[in-house]
Amino acid sequence: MTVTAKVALTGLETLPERLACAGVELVHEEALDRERLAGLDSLLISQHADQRSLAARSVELEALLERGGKLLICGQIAHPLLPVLRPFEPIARASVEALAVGFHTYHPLFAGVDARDLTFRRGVAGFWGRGENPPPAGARIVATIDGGRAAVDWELALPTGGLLFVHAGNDLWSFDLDGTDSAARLVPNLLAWLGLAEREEA
Amino acid sequence: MRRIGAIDAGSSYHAFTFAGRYADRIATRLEPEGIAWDRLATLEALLVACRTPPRRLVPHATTLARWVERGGLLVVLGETRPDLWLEDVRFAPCPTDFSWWLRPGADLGIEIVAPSHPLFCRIDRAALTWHVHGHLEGGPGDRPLVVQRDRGCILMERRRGAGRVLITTLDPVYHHGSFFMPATTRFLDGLFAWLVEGAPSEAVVVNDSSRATERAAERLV
Repeated sequence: MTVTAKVALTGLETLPERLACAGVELVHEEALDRERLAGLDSLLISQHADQRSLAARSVELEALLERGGKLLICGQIAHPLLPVLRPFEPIARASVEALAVGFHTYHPLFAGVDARDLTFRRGVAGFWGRGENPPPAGARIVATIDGGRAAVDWELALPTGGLLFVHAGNDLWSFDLDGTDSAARLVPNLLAWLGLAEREEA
Repeated sequence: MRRIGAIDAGSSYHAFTFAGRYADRIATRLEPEGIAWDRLATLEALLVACRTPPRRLVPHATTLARWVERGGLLVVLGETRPDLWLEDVRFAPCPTDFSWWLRPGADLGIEIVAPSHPLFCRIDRAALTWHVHGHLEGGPGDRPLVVQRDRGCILMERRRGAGRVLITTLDPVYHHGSFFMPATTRFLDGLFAWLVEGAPSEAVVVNDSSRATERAAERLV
């Protein structure tokens, strides 16, 4: 297929190979100026990003959504980089039971993914999320932890077609460790969601 | 020591750490781009938070080295590639084994090799044990304080001019500020307690029988 979507990732020193191969471009926060943002269809923000400097670009980030773009934010919000975001709230007690991920509504990012493969990475729980970036009114809750109390993944759809997906945990693309469980679906699903690959059957 | 600065690169975990539990220990939070002689001159110690992107530190290498020579204490935390912006540092990354503790008889192999150093009155082995991201090698006279057995150094101390540098591959700010892994909070509690008490180093003298004895801790900074 012809790749037409312009997708950038910010907040990492190097781009994961599978994203680079699909045409995602690494743009450091300081280079993400008005002009650069205006040329993008979608932006991926890593859990390691400089949220403070991105918060200074909130008008341009909102403009991306308003013209129908996609914005995916990973990690815990400390510096709200959009007006709809509020600071991360950890769950009260991060027991293994409380860290279990549950899906609430279908989302193409999780097609073919078993929630247990998000709860545990090589037997360790907690990477997927340990709290929520509180969802704004109108957000669709996609996945929760803490027995449904914390919205670890949610999406806000704008009337203009823009999509804001907020994941309050480790980078979505960091879960594809060995390709041995259904978490390996996350990167192909992400590339399809971004318009960088055909959707594969799960 | 009261004038402790911290490099805050704008990530969530830098904010949750430095504006949270440790806010009252930190006199100044600096963006890497804010590293400048007049700001460093007011500080006794500067903490380079783990996972500060090295590209944002490299332009300030000379300023940081000069500040250390004049008596500053630089504390360099992990995943900041100090080999790119400090002299005489070699860094060998290693894959992160985050599930080691699930294996029977698990031991990450962390060993304090300078137990008489006053830092270890504040930080014990358990507070040094979570993940290892790589190993360090320094220059002549640099002193390993903590190693991973059979693998290499993960925390070392060096003197340069009138100052000192503490370098580790451990990444406590990332984990503490991500509400993950209590050992990292204990590490930071201990590190800040040691800094606040003046960051004592030790002086070792060799007596007639060549037995190392410990002199009173000295305050360098």
